[in-house]
Amino acid sequence: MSDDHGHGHGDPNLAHHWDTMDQQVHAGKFGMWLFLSTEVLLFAGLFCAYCVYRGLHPEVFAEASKVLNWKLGALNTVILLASSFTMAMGVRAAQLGNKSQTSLMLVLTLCGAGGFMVVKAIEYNEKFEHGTVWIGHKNSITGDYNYSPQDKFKDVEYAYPAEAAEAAPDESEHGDPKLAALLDTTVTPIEPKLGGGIVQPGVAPSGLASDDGKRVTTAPKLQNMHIFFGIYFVMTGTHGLHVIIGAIAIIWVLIRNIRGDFTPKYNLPVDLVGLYWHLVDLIWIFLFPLLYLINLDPWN
Amino acid sequence: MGDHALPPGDWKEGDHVPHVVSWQFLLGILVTLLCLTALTVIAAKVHLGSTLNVGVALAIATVKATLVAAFFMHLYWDKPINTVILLFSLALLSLFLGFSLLDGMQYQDSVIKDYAYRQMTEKNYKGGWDPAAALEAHHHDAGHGDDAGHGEDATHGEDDKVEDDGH
Repeated sequence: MSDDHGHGHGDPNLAHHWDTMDQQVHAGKFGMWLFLSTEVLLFAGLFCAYCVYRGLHPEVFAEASKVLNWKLGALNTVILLASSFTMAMGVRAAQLGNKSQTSLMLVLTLCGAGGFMVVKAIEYNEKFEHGTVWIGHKNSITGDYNYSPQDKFKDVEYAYPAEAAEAAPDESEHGDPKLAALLDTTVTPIEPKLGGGIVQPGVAPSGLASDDGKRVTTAPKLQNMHIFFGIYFVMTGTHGLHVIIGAIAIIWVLIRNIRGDFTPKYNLPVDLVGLYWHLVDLIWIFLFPLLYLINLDPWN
Repeated sequence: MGDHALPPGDWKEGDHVPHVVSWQFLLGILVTLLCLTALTVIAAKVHLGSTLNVGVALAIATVKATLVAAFFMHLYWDKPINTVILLFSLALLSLFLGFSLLDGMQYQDSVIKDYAYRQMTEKNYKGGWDPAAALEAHHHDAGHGDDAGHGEDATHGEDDKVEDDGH
């Protein structure tokens, strides 16, 4: 068809508005990178929300992040990195015209996508059961206005600020001095900080101990965890949506590969889907430490 | 680096000759990425102070992202314009984050203190927060002037209302 226009080499894969396959490939990749840059900017909004809220409430993030299982996050990181490798291998095989190896690598990449989503589903389910889904101050799972993850912190009793203030007017001297130094207002640790931050454990009336030996802390300790989990669910949810879209795109090139569409001279779709898949991996590389690895160090 | 898809004679002018990366090289990148993942977990468990901990985690993530972009995504061998596009979007990202962070901390003084406190007290969790009722109670107090002790304190709005109903 391109011969009708007096140029090209008769390759049916060459769109008629390009002079050569080389031009088509470079234009295609250029367009894909423009699209990927908009994807970066899409996630920029979410990262911005993360940064602003973490800047305002670092203690909420440190505390709420402990509910996440970093091992599952690390497992998902390994799965995505491995699937990124198999995708790169798939692109390589397509460049070499090795059809069966391309199919194998694409299927392995799909397994990575599936594995990632399974781990994600396990994590989400865990979060739902712990009641970490909040709409404003209301827990959308339990319907409570109370404070969250019951299971994880079930041995912790909560005293409301007003009661705790009466019970322990000034316990700041008995608090951990290192932790106390982290706070500006150690004199009145119970008073809610502006914006509803939480008080570090150990600083707030640590002298409070109930008769049965359970640790008693103040309500603000676990307050406002919905700030973290709102951001967690939106960021990982948007990322998970990209994983699903990427998997659909991989299925598409897999079908085309089995159909025999690709040759050493024409494998651009595999390349472009690969770029998309690598971007999904790239974003997770940042999400993993920012969500799962906050203050794992024992001092915090 | 690596193999050729077709013998040199099979490529015609205008064909796109792909840059084929050897599988050993790709595997090496994967192993490096996995090592860096382990490193970032280990680093997170070492106490460096919260700022430095975040800095180290982001630095490692940036190295990993660079490896993925340069080699898995072929940017290293591509036309430079693709790298320019990516860097451009990252520049916009940093502008966006930078200005948001500069601005984000500026309004703490104007946060309504009473509102934040109300949110944290038990009775308001149970009874719900009704701004209209609170405002009405507040105006009620101010109008009569017989409740001067509570007049400025909106957190007692609902209590006052109950009392006033009794009058």
